[in-house]
Amino acid sequence: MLEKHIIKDIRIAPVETYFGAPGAGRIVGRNSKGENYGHNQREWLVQVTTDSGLTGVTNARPAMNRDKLTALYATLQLLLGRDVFEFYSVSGSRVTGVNPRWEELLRENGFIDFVIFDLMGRALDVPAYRLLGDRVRGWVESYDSTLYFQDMVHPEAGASAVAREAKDAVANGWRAMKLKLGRPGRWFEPNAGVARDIEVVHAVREAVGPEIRILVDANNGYDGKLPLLETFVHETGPAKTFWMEEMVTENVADYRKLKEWRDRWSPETMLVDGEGHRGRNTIYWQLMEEGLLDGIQPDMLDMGFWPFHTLARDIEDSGYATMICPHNYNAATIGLRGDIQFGAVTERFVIAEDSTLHFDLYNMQGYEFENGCYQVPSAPGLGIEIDQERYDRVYRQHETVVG
Amino acid sequence: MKITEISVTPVPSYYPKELGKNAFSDNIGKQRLEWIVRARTDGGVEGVTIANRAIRQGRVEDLLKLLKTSLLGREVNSLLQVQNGVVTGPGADVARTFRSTRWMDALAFDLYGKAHNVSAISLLGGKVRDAVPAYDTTLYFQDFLVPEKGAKQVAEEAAEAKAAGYRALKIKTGRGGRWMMPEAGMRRDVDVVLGVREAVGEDFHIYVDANFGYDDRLDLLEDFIRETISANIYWLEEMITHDVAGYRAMREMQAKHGSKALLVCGETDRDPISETFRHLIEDDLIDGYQPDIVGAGYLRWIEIEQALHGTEVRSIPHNFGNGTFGTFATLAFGAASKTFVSLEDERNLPHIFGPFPPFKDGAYQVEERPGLGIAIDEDLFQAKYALHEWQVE
Repeated sequence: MLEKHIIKDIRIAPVETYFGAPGAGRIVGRNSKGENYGHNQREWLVQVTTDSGLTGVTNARPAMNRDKLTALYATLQLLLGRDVFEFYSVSGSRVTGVNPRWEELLRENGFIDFVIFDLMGRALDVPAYRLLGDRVRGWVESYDSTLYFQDMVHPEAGASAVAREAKDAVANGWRAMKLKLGRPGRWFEPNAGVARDIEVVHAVREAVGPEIRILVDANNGYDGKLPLLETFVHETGPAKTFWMEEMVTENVADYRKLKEWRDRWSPETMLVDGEGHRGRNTIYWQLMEEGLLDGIQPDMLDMGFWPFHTLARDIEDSGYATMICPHNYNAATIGLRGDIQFGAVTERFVIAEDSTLHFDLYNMQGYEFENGCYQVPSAPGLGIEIDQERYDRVYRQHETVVG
Repeated sequence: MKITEISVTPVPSYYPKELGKNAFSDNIGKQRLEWIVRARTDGGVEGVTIANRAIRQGRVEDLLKLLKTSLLGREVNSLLQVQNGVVTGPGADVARTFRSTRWMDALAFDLYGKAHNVSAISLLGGKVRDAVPAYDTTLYFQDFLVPEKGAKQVAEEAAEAKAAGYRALKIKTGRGGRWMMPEAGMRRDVDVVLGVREAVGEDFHIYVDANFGYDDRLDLLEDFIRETISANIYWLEEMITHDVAGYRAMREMQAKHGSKALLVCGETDRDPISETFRHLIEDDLIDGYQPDIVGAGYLRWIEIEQALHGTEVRSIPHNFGNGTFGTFATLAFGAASKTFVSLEDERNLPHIFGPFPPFKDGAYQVEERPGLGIAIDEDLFQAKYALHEWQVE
């Protein structure tokens, strides 16, 4: 029988950071469909404390992206007075199933799953990943995911604006990076857009050298423009991209063509997709069945540990070769740490999406960063501690106490 | 004189600082794009507008097609109907186009004015003031961006606006609408308004805009109005979604607590003047009306002012998101409008458009130049932006 740890206190606070320094850092530009990602960024930090003195954390940004603080407040209220071990079945320090009483809440709010795993890990004095299984790797590779349409932020530099920032990423330690593409989709005249996409890939390859992994993501910017996509795949074959992500909205016919071009001109490149719908939509399974999807990408924080773990297990059981490449951009720091915990225990995990943001508020000493990889920490739970002095000084005045 | 060349170019437009959230949307940021449309004639005249609204809803490839079918090959004189030097409506051949893409008509005013060596001010009826008052509209939820300072951050930025010469500013409120709990949000709104008043002193207009952040919380709106009476707010904008019963309740709150603030709204009216706003005007429930200067277009604003004639409702065109171009566009309108109140100034740093007219005592001096009075720095354009200039083929 596990000792009870009753949730007695929940606090929400928006915590802020910047790409680079406040007022002087980078502006991360647009992707193929949305406006600039921006300069200032934030997490909606949730701290959950038990009557036994444990405190776990998560980032409620997925909830705040879709709704109001009052809705998040009402959701978190449901946790007050609950034992951290009532959400999942736990046997021998392993989660074996979800309590149906809480399954819907956790499915709709994957970020809550993070704090439950954090608290369970702390209560059992094990890292969060150990609740899912044995560690399969000690370091998790990550990629810098901030190379948006920097050529539209710095138009005079054109493609070299992206190459310059790619070089900076390598100087800062990353060995992999993702380039946002799909310029024909919205912001460019289509022919100019594909020409720029190709130019960007080659400029970055030249800037970073042959050893660095280049991932590309078009956010479906080639929808309805398959001839341009064919040109792109053909022309960028020599750059040996690591993966092509969301080149078109997932559908079997287009993916068959894409695979045909990939096989012909860029055979080592993975085709990845599946950021939405938690990997459960039929289309993903159709693509997997036909060998058209090499990696699937539900969002780590939106999904939560257990649903992602069961997705990976289902793919394993199906016999499909599809790998796991969680989306994580909006989730910033806490989401990345979740990604690393999940990657530590998931054979099919490929690489972690890193928004490269740093928050002074968090102490995460166990997650050493070396040679583009994060060490998997041995600290209990998620291994994230809050700098309480800073919290009291800066964020206490902005916090909402859930009561 | 025919339009023979048209191009579209995205030009980054910078704010002097990062702009935070408003009541419903996340950070505005530091940089946005102005989608500049340049149209040249066979007579060597060039006019400009921005297509931000078209791009917001669509794609560059669609915009290029639209410009081709709408404007390429058109006679400049066919774009507008002009009587006694004043525009009375669109040209017959483009009336339908301008009705559905109203952002285009600023280009017509610019081209026609330059072709005939008259100002857009003159085409709008002539100058009625020598200087157009402007307000700093960049005071978003800056307390989120610099959390250690909280409400003081907004007050500090307000003091900076005053030091920069402004005599009016607008504060975004409605924090309880999404990003804070309703009561806490109202309290922060009050703290911000009182802090700003203290920072800028008495001889300064404070406008407040909640972007509907008090919807369904008239109780808290009443608290806000009561607790900010001492700040002498000049106008209350979009405190709630336009609705006759809600605005009547606001009038009653004002009477009860002694608020003299103007009630203004209308930015979200996409086909002005639509039904609810007509009721608000007829029932004397609003004092200012705010369709966007570029989104509604000059031609619609001419109709709006005709409809508002005889009422107490004043013209206060919304301008946020129109960048540097919007400053020029609003300036021309404000110089010619008898009931105009104040130009919404994003304080964009200058780029290819210039020169800004002199800014003195919180107002732009009116200088009548042909068309919209915008000169393009061609050297700068070629050096920084021409790489992304897409021609209408």
